[in-house]
Amino acid sequence: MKFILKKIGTLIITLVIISFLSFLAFSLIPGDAAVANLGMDADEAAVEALREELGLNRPVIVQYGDWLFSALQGDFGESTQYHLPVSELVAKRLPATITLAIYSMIIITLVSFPLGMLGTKKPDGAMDTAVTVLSQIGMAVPQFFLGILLTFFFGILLNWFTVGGYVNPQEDLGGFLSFLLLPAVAVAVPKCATMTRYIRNAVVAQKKMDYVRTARGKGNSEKRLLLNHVLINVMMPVVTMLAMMAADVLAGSIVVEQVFNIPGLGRLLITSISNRDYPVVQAIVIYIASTVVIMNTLADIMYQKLDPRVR
Amino acid sequence: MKRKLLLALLMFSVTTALCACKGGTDKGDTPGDISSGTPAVGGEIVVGITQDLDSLDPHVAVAAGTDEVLFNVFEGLVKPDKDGNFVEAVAESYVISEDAMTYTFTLRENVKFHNGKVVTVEDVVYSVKRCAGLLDVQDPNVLVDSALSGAISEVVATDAHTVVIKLKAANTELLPFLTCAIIPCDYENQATAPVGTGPFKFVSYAPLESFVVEKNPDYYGTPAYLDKVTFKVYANSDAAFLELMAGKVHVFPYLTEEQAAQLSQKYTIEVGTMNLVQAMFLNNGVAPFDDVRVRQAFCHAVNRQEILDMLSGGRGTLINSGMTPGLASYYNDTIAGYEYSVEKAKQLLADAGYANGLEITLTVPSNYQYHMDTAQVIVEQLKKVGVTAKIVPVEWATWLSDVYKGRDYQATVVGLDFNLAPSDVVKRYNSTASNNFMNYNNAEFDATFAKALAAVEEQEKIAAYKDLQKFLYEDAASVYIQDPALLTAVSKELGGYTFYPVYVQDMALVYYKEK
Repeated sequence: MKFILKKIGTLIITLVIISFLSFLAFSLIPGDAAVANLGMDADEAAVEALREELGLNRPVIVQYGDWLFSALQGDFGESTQYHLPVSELVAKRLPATITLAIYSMIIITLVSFPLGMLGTKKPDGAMDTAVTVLSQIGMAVPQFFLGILLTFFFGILLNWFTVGGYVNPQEDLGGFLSFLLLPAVAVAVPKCATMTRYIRNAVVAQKKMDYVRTARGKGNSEKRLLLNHVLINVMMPVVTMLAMMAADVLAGSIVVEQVFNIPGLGRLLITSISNRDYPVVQAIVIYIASTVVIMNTLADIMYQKLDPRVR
Repeated sequence: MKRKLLLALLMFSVTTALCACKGGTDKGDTPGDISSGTPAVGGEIVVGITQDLDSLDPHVAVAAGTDEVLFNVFEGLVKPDKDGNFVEAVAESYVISEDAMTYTFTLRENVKFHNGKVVTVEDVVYSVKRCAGLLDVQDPNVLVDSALSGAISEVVATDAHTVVIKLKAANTELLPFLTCAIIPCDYENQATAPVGTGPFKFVSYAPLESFVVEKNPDYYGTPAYLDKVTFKVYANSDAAFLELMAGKVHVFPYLTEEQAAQLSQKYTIEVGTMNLVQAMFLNNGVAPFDDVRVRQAFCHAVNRQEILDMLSGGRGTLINSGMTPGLASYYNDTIAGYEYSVEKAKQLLADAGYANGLEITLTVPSNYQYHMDTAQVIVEQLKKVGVTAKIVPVEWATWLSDVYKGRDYQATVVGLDFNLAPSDVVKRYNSTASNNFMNYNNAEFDATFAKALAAVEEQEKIAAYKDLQKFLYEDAASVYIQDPALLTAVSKELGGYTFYPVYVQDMALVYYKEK
């Protein structure tokens, strides 16, 4: 209980610091929502009037205080660009981003564990080299290219996938879920490759440890050795990696969203930054920061389960 | 184990090869082009756009990318046609007084808004006043059109069908600005559920996804052929390209030269112009560009034909001054332009004291790939005359704030769009103009501009505007490049796609060809 409370405390402090920093950063870069909204031909008086209306001519600290006060009550304000509540804008994009994240985490877990352990029976053997080469390729291919390749192959040549067929989950849940599978592969491949390599190296390193020799001496089979002894020790750093990856995919993949034309969080964030839409940017920053902190907390809890010494 | 894996791989490659064949035959079935067949009524299409709408309220929207879409939903008293004339829309007829001090509009009877209400003189007065910033309570989000606010003194309804616009000074060029949308005066939800009088009416909008319109059955004019048009928003033309390859998009402008070449099998590639003045704009107010010789040297140093050849397969219209041929009779086609000459450029630079070379910074908005690419070519060309140019890419809001408003730059590459009034194109070069981001300053220009604007007699006006272009050329106000070509992919099933001399996509003319 004390542990959880401590973590919640950390979360709140982190969010306050991050939100203030992003507010500060925004006040330092050129341009604001009034200039962005009124465009090239507005005169200075009109821009000033809109600034007044949007409250942009107040000191940064006052603007931040005002924002924080509302945010603490769950009100993230209204988008200066779309004139819609920020919570509504962000909430509409979460299903796609979260589904994409869940899919890709499943793919990462299902693929990288078996693949990572495949070659470790005989390090530097043929299978091990094959896995290494494969993961190198996976890491090296740029995501947008992979996206284009997948779309071309499965969408245009094979017709297994409807190019540009994104639908809202409210309209067609089945269509929504099946459309996101291929983008999820594009998100997952580089991460699978990293993970596979990570697991492979960790397993190989562990196998050289004394306890493995002891366990082997006690007559454990190779398979038993791997699953019962090595894997549990490999899990610790791997869980950290997985948590970081989960936080990353939950933040939305800008590149993959663009290639597959998915209206996810990443594109909203980019657009909002160029429109100087502070309320939306703040809300997304808060969301991303929270996922990172929450994922790290989950990793800590997992540690405890895996290794009772961590307290 | 190894053998099994190999077998699986082999199986996989065989199936994919088979499937690939199937895909191939599918495509082979599509019939070739049926040349401009007879229009069929009905059908739905998807039009790709690369810029999200900045507002659905036509008076709040400022992006050219929004205007091109909203053109289908809204109309002004008059609207442009494909030849650049202004034809009656909500107005049935108009009279411009001899002295060009009053514009009198007679409204068309029974024009209906999309919400079923009939357009009244109150609506017209409200709409024009809102655009001109003359309402008692003005929404700060509305972009006041300075051409209207500067010119209009009064907007009044003299009877139930007549609206009179009185001006502060004689002005024969106001018609292009009276295309501003007529909207209902008592309607609050324009920003979320827009209501206009156009051939299409609003259905739905999802930010960063799509803007959907359907045929307006009560339209007073020639009704649209299509039942429904979905404008789908893409992050960029690369993202749209994949869907074009898959045949999911029917109309898509802003293709690059390579994309157009790859799509020419499936689509008709229509070539128009972007109606932009693309130039390397120079800050006449700071060194080294405060010296006319340096500016002229740059005009000689930039090989404009090479830019066209490299970036758009030679397509595009070279311009020699600050106006494009789209302005028809006002365009001065007698200006020869600066010839490409490394020697002349070097000589002029040496005269200005830069015999040993010069370093400059080009601040370019990075969201416009075409301008970025143009800048790259220019940088290479400038090397030949001893100028080292560095490109600083900035995002749009920064460009707007630092370069355009703040005038804190040396040179930039961008395209300027304009309304079809000649004054709108060259107004910015007045020494006192708030948008004179080149800091161009020529007293003779200012005087001639005032004369051009006030001229009531057409020939006098034309002569004055031609002089203005000559000043810009002689002073080398900037390195004018071109009006870029606009490459649009149009599905072979469709006909009627029409380019306008302004930036719009008129879907009311587009139809499916009768099979």
